Amino acid sequence: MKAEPRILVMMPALNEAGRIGSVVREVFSILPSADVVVVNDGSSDATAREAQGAGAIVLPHAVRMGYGASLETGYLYADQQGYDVVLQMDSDGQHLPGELHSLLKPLESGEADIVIGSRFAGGASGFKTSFIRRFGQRFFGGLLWMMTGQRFSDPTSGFQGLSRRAIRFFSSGVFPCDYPDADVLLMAHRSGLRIREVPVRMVARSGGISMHAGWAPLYYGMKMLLALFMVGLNRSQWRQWKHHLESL
Amino acid sequence: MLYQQFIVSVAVGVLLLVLIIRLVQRGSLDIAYCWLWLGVGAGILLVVLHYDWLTRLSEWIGAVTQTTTLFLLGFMVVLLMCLQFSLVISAHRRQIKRLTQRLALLEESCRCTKCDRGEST
Repeated sequence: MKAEPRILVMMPALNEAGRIGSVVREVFSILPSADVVVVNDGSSDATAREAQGAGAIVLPHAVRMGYGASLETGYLYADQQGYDVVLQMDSDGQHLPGELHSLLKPLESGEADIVIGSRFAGGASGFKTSFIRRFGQRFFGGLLWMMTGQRFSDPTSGFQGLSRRAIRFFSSGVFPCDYPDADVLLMAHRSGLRIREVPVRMVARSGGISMHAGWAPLYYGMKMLLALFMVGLNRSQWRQWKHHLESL
Repeated sequence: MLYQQFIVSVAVGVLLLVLIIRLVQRGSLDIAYCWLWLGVGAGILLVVLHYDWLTRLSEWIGAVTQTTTLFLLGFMVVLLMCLQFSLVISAHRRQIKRLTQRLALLEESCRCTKCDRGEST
């Protein structure tokens, strides 16, 4: 990695007007040399205008494509523009910009390709979550442990940092459209990317509607089980990726 | 097979084939999606013209009557069509996603170009 990596802070956003401007400004105050890109997933409010006003680059989806597709758009942009590091965070204020340095350190030192900001690692807790979500996190964390041999305390965290190799991998078309969580970690692990968790603080979202609201957890659970099974089946694909990524 | 049954079945098969060919001819139905429908029309005619084949198939699969076999075949065709539509929808979703992403990148690229030229965005 170069002495001063080019950093892109990426935020997928859907109807986050009233919050996103302050989050972008706070990111710039923490990482002045970074670029901030907001992937506006078909918002019907002033999300794009607020983000642009705060200095972010806005990538607008003409139609709503989902959280995973928004992340993938950001990865495509990062890959196209040659960024060395992508730090992805939510735009609803749940992820604290002050914790971005925690994600950045293992990437800068070359210890990891994917760094997950965990609410529950190393005693970094205090974050209140519902019973069903905590159960899901533990269940899929356990499954991942069985399938990878690596423990994940917060496999659903979207607060992540990615190296150049991970950016290339995630922008290749393997990324799922919806709920990219444990399945993505499994495919990254199988493809030889090094994943590390770091403890971070998070706060409850300051507004808006969570993508895990209503019946979504039920679909999430079924989708994730099937996705993990499918990733497990595609061994040769991940082996090929492993060889490819090693050569980068 | 009764004479009336023969006439009605042949008419249904022929009408279906004519309808599909007309739809393709007018461009309302893509050739890519007409094969299964043509197969259904041809299948109906085949069953009518070779009714003994249906009888043998029924014996072979253990169906008590030929009607059961026909329902089974019809159900399988419907399932195949549903699978075909699911495949097409999945492919379209992937293509729309890719187009949306490319459009987003292109819009940003256009905005940058305008900024470089000093035009307001």
